[in-house]
Amino acid sequence: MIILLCFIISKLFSIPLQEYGLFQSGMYNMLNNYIFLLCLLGLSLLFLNSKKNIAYISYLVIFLLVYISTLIFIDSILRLIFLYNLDYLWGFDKFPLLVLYFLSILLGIILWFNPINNLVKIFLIIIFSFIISFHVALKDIEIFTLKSFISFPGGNLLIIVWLSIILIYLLKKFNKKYVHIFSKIYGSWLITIGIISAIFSLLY
Amino acid sequence: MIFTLTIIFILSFFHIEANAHSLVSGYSGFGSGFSHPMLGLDHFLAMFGVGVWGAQMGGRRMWSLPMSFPLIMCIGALIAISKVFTFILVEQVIALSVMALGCIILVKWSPNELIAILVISIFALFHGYAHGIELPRANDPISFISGFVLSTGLIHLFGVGIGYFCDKFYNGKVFNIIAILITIFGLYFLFKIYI
Repeated sequence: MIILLCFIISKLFSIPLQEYGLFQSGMYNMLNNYIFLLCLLGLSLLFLNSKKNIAYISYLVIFLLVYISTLIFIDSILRLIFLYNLDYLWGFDKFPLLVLYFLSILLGIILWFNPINNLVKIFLIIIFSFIISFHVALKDIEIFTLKSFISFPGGNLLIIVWLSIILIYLLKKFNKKYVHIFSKIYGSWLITIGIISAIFSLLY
Repeated sequence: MIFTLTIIFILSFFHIEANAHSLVSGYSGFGSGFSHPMLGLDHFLAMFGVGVWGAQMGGRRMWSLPMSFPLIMCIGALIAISKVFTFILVEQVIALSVMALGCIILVKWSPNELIAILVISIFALFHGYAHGIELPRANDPISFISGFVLSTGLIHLFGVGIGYFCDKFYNGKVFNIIAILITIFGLYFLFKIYI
């Protein structure tokens, strides 16, 4: 984890010549987005009660699968959105952020119930991964290739994995009873932030 | 050494922005959203009071009050943003909410959960409305929202923590001191509006 941290910091401070610093901007994209960071804390709270390491690895694999496949099929997804005129619903410029607000509301509701069921968690990680990937793809300026994946989406991915590992590791140190109560309270914060942000960005 | 560091730490809360930073307004982004309820003593004491009251009653109410407050606050903020209708006497009700919460903690009122939530809902509506009015003025409103909701929640938790530990010392008499202080401040806010 320390090596990963050193790598992230060194990457943040060095932009190689002949590059546009897309990897770094991907990292900043996640670190600057407060709603996303709050959602990540919510997700970490949900995954705390998984005991086996294999469960965490399977969540990571599912996350990566959905993340990469959304990036690959982003054109088809966008075509579907245009076909059903979903872009008229909110205005296409608001799409990348609105999906995050809805994720925040969904996470908040699920945190209230705090399910132990594995299927619910897998369903949530698919939704989370799809929305994050969709958000990244809409902000990406390159056409998807293996190299571009390493650039902008790779920077995002690195921060997501690093932060979620750290948050889960830190939260495991606390008493489960208090974490359970906190996750319920935190769920209400996420819902509040999601609703106000969504309505505000739709109105203004 | 510790004394000097403490003074520096306290003074760091009273900084002002350099005038050259023209983009920094009273309502910029996450930072100002976060500091808004913390530095506004009326908001701070009301939310702190809700946390202390929840902890004083104990049981489920310890977390159901801090959980409900932001959600109802959200409705108040939405009313302000959408301008569906205008609340009157907002400042007065906020000052009254501080005073009322102080009195409630002082008399150790312990109603059932639904009534307690109903009482704080009225206060939360007005607090949310006050925040909602300020939102369109922020440079980065979405970050401002995240900041103030997070800060509000943390003040609740702080109140719950203080209330939880108060119960264990001096037979809960610390509750009375906190309650009296909150009530005095509530009275002061109310007095300040009309002067």
